[in-house]
Amino acid sequence: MFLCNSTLGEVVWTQVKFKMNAYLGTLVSLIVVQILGLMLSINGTSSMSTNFNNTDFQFVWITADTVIIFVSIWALFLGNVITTKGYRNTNFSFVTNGISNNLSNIIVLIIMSVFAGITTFLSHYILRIVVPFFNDVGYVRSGSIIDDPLSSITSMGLMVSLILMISAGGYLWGTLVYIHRAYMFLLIVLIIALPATKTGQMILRFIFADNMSLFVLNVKFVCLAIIFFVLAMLCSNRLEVRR
Amino acid sequence: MTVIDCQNLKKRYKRLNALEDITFQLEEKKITGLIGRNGAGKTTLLKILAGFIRKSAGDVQVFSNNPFNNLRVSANSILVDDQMSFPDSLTLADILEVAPEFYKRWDTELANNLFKYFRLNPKQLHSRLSKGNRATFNMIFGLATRCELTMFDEPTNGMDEAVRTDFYRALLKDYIAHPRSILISSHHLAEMEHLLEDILLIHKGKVVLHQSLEEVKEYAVKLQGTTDLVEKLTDGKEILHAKQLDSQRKYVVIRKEDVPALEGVTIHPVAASEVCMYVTSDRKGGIDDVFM
Amino acid sequence: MSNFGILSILPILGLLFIIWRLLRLTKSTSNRINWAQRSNKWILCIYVGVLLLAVVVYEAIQADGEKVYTQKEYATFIDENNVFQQAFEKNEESKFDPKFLIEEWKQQIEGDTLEVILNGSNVRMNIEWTNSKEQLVEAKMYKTYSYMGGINMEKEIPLPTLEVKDNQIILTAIPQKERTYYRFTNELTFFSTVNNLDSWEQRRVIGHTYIYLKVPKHINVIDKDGLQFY
Repeated sequence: MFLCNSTLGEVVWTQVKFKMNAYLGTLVSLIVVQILGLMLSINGTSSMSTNFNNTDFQFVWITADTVIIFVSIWALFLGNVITTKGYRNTNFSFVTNGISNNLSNIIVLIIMSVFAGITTFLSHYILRIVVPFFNDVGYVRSGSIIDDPLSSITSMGLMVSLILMISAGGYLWGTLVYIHRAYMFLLIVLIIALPATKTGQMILRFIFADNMSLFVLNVKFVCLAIIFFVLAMLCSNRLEVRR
Repeated sequence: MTVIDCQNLKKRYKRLNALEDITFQLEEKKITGLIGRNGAGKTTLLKILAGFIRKSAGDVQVFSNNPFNNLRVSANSILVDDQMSFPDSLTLADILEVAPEFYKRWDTELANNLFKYFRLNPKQLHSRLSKGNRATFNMIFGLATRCELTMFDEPTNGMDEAVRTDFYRALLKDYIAHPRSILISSHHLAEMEHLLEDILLIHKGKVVLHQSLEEVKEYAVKLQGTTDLVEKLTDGKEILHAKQLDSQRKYVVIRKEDVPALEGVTIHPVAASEVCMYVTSDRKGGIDDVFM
Repeated sequence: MSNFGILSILPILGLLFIIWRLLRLTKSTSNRINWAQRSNKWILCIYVGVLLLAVVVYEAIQADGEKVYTQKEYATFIDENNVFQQAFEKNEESKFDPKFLIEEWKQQIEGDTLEVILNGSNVRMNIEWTNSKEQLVEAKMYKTYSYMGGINMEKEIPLPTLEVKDNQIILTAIPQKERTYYRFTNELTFFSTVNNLDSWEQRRVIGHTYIYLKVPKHINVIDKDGLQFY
């Protein structure tokens, strides 16, 4: 009897390739979400007026904030959806085990988060071109990637790690829901409880505010993502595939 | 070498004992039929062997490993059943294309030829296939993996008569060309008797029989004759099945022993499928008795 | 806070629902359409291509736009403005940076009064009294750096007009105007509003228009309301 021995690395790599191919549709939904966000942010997120020499200068800020909120929600459901029964069963039609399934899911989420983060950052440039074409307003030259590569990379990284953290949260959530359906309500409870309670506010403030620099925030996001992924792996490794 | 080794394997669901006490060993390169009635625990056993679900107690070894969450077992075994699913974003052709990356011994030629023979549409999605076509595709997939342990759970469900015959033929031919351990579960033994070597009969979560097909065929005999005579002959013996044919004649199935040939009693062989049915029957009498 | 919190949750919940539906929809359409997988790759490639193109095109558009200054450059602008302001207040003309000079006039006036008429203009004015016995009045107009978020505001707004006529200096402000600019940022203001406003403050320098007059001592300078300069 001759047995094939696949190493974990090989299997994970094959799974990643397979999943990237199979889940390509989610990236198309990402594009739809981004375009939706872009359309809503065309009027600007905030504005500021200054009077100078008898002239009122109004600055309308167009930021990527709306898009990133949309993409974050997309990421939450992306993390969630790949833990659902249908997706899990299709994975187990091929060579896999709990660990390789988790690892390849995580790698796929990382790849998709990187893609989502970078495209979210770049999608802003579509507005930069579209807005002056369709509006008869003054046009302010704003820092572009070439003018300010460091801050561009920082905010790109921030978007990537934010999306990754949220998709990791979605993944953990989905894993818990797979264990028991009652966890379905966990997210809704969290969304209500976090801003409403004192401790919740403290946690939010610890994460989002009180940061010395964006880099620290970045590190916090990545750490949270790792915690979520590890928890999800611990929870799901003993799970059966109820085919 | 032993492919599967189960010792007192138990599986409990919340309120149900799916497997009570399963002990058997499966030698390599044999086609074994896993036979049992509805709810006997066939599917549960196969899922444990494939590593999809956990055992509750006892010991189970596939290729000398506990199959649950084991990569080696996953790489060398496949379970083909009607719950097999593939992503909706991939067409059947895509699935056949990615499969060799997972299964190192994937037989592309066999897969393509069978695919063409059964006239499946390569652009079709797995979830949109009809029940019979899905079963056919799963079967092709299972055969082409060439896994050392290939398990089929009710593979012919939904297939029409012609496809069933073709399937058994294909299975046998491929087995002869590339011998490996094959475990097929089914509740009708008769149609696949010709390709089985061994029979593993389970009932209510326990192994009832694990013998070669020849032995099973020799397991019992049917005595038919006048009621008095038959009852006298079988007195004190274990009666597997009895049926009153009319007011005077009766037949009784008993374990094959030295049965004295008697005037007025004929001895018939009992087919393996009938043996399995009688051995796993709990009731005395048949469905006819309900309508008496 | 809690009221506000709950109110701000509602749109998020709505968004959650919309995007959830969207994901379901894309999943079900890919069920129906067989070519989805092939086209997905194309859609992604085209989208990424468009994004990269947008970045390049944006650079091209900017070729005739304004330069974006770094925070350091803004700091030097502010310093130079301050130096000018101080020198201006102390009448140290020699220290004036010639690059701020915009226009100068020399005018022989008759009589001993110079009238300054300010028509709604908010220029800063200073007079240096000279010991000259002549009737020559010199006027210089300076303007210090004004940049805001990358726009050179000096260019955007015309200067107040200055006319020197007989013994009158007439400064007319430009009419009230309103200008709107769209400004883009790479940064996420979402997390660091304070941080961003800081950098906004740091990237702004507001200069002034200065009128520097050199007038012989024996000439009286009055504005049209009769105030006298000394």
